[in-house]
Amino acid sequence: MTRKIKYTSALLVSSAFLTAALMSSPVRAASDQDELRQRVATMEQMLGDLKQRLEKSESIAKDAQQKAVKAENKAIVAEKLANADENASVNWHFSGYATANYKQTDQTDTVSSFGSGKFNPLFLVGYKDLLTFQGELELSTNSDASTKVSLEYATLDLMATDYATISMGKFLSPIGAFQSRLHPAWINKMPDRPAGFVEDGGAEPLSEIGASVHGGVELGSMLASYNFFVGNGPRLSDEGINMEGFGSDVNGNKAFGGRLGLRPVPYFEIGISGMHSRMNGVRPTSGTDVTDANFNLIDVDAAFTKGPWDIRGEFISSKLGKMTSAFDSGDTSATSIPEMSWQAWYTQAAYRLSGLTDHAILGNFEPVVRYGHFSVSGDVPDWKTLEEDRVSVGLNYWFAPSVVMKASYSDRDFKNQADANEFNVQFAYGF
Amino acid sequence: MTITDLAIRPVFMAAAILLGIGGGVASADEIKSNDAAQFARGAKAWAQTCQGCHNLRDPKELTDRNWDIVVNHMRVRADLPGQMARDIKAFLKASN
Repeated sequence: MTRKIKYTSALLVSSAFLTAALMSSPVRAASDQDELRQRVATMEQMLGDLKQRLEKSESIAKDAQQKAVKAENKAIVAEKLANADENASVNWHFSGYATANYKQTDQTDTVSSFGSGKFNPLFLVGYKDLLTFQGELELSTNSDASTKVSLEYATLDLMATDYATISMGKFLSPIGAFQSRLHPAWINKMPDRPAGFVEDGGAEPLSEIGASVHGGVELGSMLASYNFFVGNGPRLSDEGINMEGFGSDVNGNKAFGGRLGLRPVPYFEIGISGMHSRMNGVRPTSGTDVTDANFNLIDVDAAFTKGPWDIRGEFISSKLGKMTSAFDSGDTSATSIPEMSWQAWYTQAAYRLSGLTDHAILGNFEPVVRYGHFSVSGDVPDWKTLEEDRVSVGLNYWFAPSVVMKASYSDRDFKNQADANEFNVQFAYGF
Repeated sequence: MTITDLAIRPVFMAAAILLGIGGGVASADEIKSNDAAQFARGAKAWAQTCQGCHNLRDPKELTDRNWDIVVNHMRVRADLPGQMARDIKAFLKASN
């Protein structure tokens, strides 16, 4: 606006001088007057151009101002959205792990095969620091190409205090450490599970449907943890005691148990677990009377995990009282089952070579050795087929903290079937 | 940066802070923590507790929001005290 005034003033002053000059010189030659008129006309043209430029500049400035206002509004909205996400009460995350396997064995009637890789999606949803929902599925491909979907666990966890969480739903059995914490393939140092810690016919409880209260407390430099649960409990099966969570109870007698853990010094933890359940006899089709029996289990686990070292072990012992029962509800008669007991244990040591070398490749290798034992005492032959002593050596390569390629050789000394030499490869990714 | 560096560097950082040595390692002032004491507690708990089951995950793997819920998940799974979980969150968020 100031520039406009300056130009206008200059033109007016110039015009005034020219007019005065023309009026004061009546005798000026006609040619001079024509020249002056032409100059005035030129200046008027310039003034017009300047007015047009000024109007154009004002239009551009107006557009720029409007754009600036829009940008400012967008920034305000973006900031609000960012704050809304940061401050939202509900938070969620998709996690889980995936595996692919290959197995070669000289076991009778078994051929080498790529195994059904597993995909375990884990959904986490939280409300503030008060509640979490965690649900994990397991998807795998059966040998007949069909897909198997199972629910690993799904719990609502109320973090009632800093020291106590109340969980309800289907949860991994807190007995011991392998099933509850170590079995995911990107955590397990070997491609397979230890002897007796298997999913079918093993000695370790897998999951439970019920409720639990659990938590931890720091005691000076020590860390103590506890987990007490109650649930529907195990059932008898053709393979032994089926300890995978059942969606209903068959006898109303709830199983209960728990684990106490203590980390007396950094990097070393020991835990002791126990469980009690009243087992219901399975009624056969012929309606023979059946009896119940007690089932008790005790477990001790320990781990030393410092720097490149990962040394751990676990021992399970369980006992079932004498009872009369069918093994399956489709059986025509019940069987007198003597007192039975199961024992399974393993020790395992792994060492990451990054403890020896800074080499970018060599440091990612991790040799592993494991010894496992599984035995069943009692006169039920079908429950004793998996008895074995197993020696395994393996070599892992860690591409990242949760991306690993594992290879192992196992010498499996079975008690009631032919021995086997087994070679396993597993690729696992935890995300 | 090598894969080994990703996994090991936070351990050295945590160890250095625990031991009070700062040479070549970011000090508490240099990292994004408003509470150096909580950061140190979190680094210690992270190194001593998480490795009890699995390899230490790189703090840069997840965002602050993700660590919030993932650490709550681990608090439930590993029976960690609430304050320890909050300390670990503070460390991970300041290190990602």
